[in-house]
Amino acid sequence: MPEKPTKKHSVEELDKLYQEYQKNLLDLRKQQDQIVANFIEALKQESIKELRRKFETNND
Amino acid sequence: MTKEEQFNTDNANEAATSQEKVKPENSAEISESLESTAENKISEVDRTSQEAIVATKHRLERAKTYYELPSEKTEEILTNGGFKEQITSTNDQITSLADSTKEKILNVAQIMRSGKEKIHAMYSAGQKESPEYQALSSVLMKKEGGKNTWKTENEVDVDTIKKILDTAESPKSELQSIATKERTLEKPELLSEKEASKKFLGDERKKLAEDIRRERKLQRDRLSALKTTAENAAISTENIESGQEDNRYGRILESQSTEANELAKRVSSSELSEQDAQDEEENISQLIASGENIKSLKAKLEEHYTKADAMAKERFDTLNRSLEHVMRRNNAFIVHKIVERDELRHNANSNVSGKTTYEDDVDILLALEPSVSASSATPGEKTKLWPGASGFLLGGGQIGEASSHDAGTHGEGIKKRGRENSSIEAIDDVVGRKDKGSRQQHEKDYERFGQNIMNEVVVNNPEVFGFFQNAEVDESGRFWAYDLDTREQSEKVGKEYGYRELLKGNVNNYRQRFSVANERGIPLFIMTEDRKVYECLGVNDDGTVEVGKQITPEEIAIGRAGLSAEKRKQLGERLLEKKIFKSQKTQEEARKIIGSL
Repeated sequence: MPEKPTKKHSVEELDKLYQEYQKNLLDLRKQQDQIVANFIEALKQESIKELRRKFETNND
Repeated sequence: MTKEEQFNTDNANEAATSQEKVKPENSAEISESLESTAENKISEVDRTSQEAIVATKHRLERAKTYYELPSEKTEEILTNGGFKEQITSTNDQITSLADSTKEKILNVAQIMRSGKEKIHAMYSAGQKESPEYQALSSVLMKKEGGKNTWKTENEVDVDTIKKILDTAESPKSELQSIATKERTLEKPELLSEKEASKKFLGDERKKLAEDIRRERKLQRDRLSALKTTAENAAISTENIESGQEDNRYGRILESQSTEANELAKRVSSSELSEQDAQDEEENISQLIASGENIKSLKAKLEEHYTKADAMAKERFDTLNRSLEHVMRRNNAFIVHKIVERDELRHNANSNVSGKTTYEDDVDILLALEPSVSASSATPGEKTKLWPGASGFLLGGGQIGEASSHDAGTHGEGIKKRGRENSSIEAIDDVVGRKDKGSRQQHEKDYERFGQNIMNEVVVNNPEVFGFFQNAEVDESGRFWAYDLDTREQSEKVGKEYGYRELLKGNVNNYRQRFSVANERGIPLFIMTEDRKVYECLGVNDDGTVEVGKQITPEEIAIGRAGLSAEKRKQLGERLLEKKIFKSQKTQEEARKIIGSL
């Protein structure tokens, strides 16, 4: 009689590895999103500073 | 029951139950669906990881344009704000995550493959009763319709296979019937004379360093009278032994020259008292003496490096002409056949007497590792070899003379055969069948003639990887002992008179040859006419042969080869007792070889 497949089998093992990878990749993608968002924020702040400088120069 | 009888009985038993056996030629393969699932997962990992990296790169590029800042300013914020570094870091993490996941996926597929290969290996080693074989087969195999077959990947518990494999030693090392030695393959590398001096002439180098140290010390003492600077003293012992001899020599010479100049100036420009003149005269003679010592040191250094350079070149040549590297470079087997035809074996040119048996021939090669004549065979190409149903797959040794045809070499004693060594290029041309100008030209010729002629290479100190017998595969994938005549004989058994006995005799001889090699711990293989080599798992009464995985020249190059000194001695002593050598001189040479083990 074939052994009843109740344990961790090769295809399941591959699925499990892939799911774990997807989870970790998602975490890293979130980190990347945050870095890009922070970069955009830094650009925004610099842009505001630049506008303020121009404004102050024009009103001196 | 002797081992030989056991082997035959096992084979007979296997023949009786051959229908229950797993079809061997693809049995070590993992199933296509597991392979394709693994491949799909790997390509998904590649795709998604690359997508994550590229998408972020694009978003970053777009972000740079949002506030219309000057590009230098944007780049400055990107770099100084640490964003560039952070993105690089996450990209690296994604790449690393993808790589480790792919490796894990491949491991799962590999565990299945390793488990099946292990079963094959243990089966061929007669270890079917061992707990490990039983455990592995219960995890990997099942009975279906009265036949043993592999379980599907959905029925196999990979963790259990891994545990069984982890608790065992490497599959080959524990095979009881395999007595060949494990090896490591050194890469041929032409060392510089300095590297060779460190690697091969350590003691001599150390002694030279001591001489130099002593000379320096003496010179320092002498030159201290001349207010020698502390420069010499700064040459530390570490430098002496770390490959700075040339620099050191130059510095001593330079220092000496400086001091000589200063001395000359002082002597010529000053009014010397008698005592001063005597002192300076002493200094000059010391300086001259030191110069002579330095000359002698220089000569010693030159001699040392010349020797090191010669050793480096010799080592490079030795490695490049080693069988392992020749097989790897040219993807070819190096084969030594055992001649059984009376008119060809041990004739007037032979070292040994006509009384020598097949077993003796095998033992001569295994114990004495004599210089032998061999031929190369490329897997997949029909190639003429020396006649004989069996032979050895050589795995180690050094190639001497190489010829693109039968060179008819003769042995001189045991350890010498043929003329002078061929160059590495000539060996590669012969073994790689490029002697007609190029491999492409060879392929054209092969297509035209349909087979390669027999070439000849002399192998010195040959080490045996395996023993093989001829076999042939039919259109249905069944392997037959010797060639397809065996199938014809098998088909005529019971239909035409005499075929039963003919087949039985041939099969018995086939088993007998394998049992000779098996008793000596040599792994068993079969070789087809187009020179493909497969593991041999068993010989059936109907003349078919059970085969395992196909073996490549690369696997032989890095595999086990040669018997241990102890085993060689044991076989050699039996040969010496039999006095099989014709001349006393050869008998003495054999005694010396065995005595040195």
